[in-house]
Amino acid sequence: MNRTTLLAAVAALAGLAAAPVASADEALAKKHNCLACHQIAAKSVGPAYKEVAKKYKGQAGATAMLAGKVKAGGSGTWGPIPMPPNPAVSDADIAKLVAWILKQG
Amino acid sequence: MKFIRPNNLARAVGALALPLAVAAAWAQPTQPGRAPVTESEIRYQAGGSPLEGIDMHQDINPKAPPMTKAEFDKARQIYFERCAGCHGVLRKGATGKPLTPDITLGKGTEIMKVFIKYGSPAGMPNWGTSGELNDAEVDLMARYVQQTPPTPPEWGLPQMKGSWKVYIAPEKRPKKKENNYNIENIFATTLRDTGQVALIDGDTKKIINIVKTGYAVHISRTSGSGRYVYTIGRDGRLNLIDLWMAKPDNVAEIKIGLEARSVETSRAKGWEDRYAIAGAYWPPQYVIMKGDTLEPLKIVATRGMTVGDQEYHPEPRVASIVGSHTKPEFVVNVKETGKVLMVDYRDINNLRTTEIEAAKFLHDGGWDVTKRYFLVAANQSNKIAVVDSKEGKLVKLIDVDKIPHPGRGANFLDPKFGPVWATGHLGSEKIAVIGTDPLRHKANAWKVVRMIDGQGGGNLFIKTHPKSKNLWVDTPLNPDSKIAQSIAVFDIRNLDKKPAVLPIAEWAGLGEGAKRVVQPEYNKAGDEVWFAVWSAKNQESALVVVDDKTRKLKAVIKTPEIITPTGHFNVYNTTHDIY
Repeated sequence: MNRTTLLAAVAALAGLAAAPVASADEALAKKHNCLACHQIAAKSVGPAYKEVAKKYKGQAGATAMLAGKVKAGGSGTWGPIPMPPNPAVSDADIAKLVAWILKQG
Repeated sequence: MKFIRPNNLARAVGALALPLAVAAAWAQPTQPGRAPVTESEIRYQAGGSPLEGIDMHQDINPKAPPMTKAEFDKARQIYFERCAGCHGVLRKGATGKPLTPDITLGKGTEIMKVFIKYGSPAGMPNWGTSGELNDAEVDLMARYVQQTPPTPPEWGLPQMKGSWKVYIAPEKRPKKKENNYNIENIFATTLRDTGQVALIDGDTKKIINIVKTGYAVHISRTSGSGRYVYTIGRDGRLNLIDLWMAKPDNVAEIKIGLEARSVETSRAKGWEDRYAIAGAYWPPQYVIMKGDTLEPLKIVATRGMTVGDQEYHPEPRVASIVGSHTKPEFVVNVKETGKVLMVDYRDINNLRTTEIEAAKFLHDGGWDVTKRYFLVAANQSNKIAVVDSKEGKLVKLIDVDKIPHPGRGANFLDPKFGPVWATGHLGSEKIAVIGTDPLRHKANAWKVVRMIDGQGGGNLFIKTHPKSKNLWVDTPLNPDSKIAQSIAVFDIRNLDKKPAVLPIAEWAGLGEGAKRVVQPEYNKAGDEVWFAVWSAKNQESALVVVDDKTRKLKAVIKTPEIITPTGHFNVYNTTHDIY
């Protein structure tokens, strides 16, 4: 058992986490429909967030570049399927989402 | 009241057809000049729906992206041709995800476009990149699925009675057989795109009559006595054919719904030919009729709660129906709710039904050799459900491979495991062999005792006969034409041995065409196997007869009338459910 599951088990025992509650940022991803195409660990219509994090981890400017991609959409990096633009999502939410995605690697 | 526009009904010809509850498989409109089958259409297993031309109620959702009336009508037509089979008429979801506006509006046009154009790993076909829909159509459909789903009209007793015709009343029909045909060896052959059934004399291989039926006939069943043939089209039109007439022909007709797949008749001792039952896709219901006139007597809705999560489903389609040989019961398999209904027809005014919870997305299936157990595929659940018709209980849910498609399945004696029933799969090359004898082979019962490898995925039918040692496996929906045009045949005595592959389409000696080889079917004696070699409407097709013992070509039946043959049903084997 790794540390995370151990913690989860402890939390569950303590009655704190009856259901596997997603992080606040995962809830945000769900709210903005990111999870319609992306999963954290597996490739779906879009790339897995783990893969995205791995690709850009530690790169200077990655955060700003990814924020731009979320806002304006893009295609080509992960294959021909385009990421649609998301003009309605606020910059503050995008910043939170990108930070969360980069933590997944 | 709304009526069907005949010109639109004609358009529904392009929709598909096939025997058993196979529709799910037949995904190719065969308009002339079109590639007969594409990858995305194969992935779209559910096939088109004839509802495209039906007037429907629709309200305008102010939150949805705007559409003109013409755009809406075009999108609606595309939806029923390409999408309804999986996502449902009301878009509540079936084998595809739900697409109701509460979900689609939240996702928005851009996300919808990505899914429609590129598909998804979960099984959505790539309609855009496959070339089936252009970018404008993808955009149109992305906006359409955000509108409130239009609802087709209901189809109750007044509508059924309005469509009901008795051409020859029972008292005016022959009192005894008035022809010299060996009617037990007649084959009722679906001519899918012409809306006809060819009655073929199995002894002489000559056509007896070509009978007008519904479009894209899905299945033909024979009555308990073997005298009548019931034939149902995808458009819900049900025909009754009397084989005792000097020239067998239609004696009655009814439209039981707007879209349908299944028909069956009462088979229990003392109840032969008494009742017919037909199941509809829309409206979601079944109807019990008088067996010799098709007079509608009792309509039962299948709307209700699903198994497992017990949520209301507004359109649980009737996937397949079989009649018990041992009890006065129909076995009605309801797709979306995942329930098997054992309908006791002894008193249809006080109808008793045993509702058996199986698994979601029930499709078709067949009896075991004793005809006590019914094995039915839950196709998108990748399971076979076993129902004990004697006890009226679910025996077991068995995990098999990807998208099992048994047709009726095949019963035989496995040299190692005893009595077994086998099914092929649409989604893989595997053939699952399941033990069916809980008395003498208890350890093997209701388990996959072997998985054998056929030629590839895209299998629809698998067949053997009590007198044969051959197990025939078709693969008409395989994208590789070499595989689609041939048949694999296994030796039951040595199932570990690779199958022989017979080039049936080549034997037919036809010109250009898809020439998909479909549905092995035995003659009455069990010494011949018949196959349809199916090409498009404007191309030559044929039936090929193979000698079961030598596995060599025996006859090719090709005449100008044999257009788009698909399912073919031998009267004796159908009457007695021999498979």
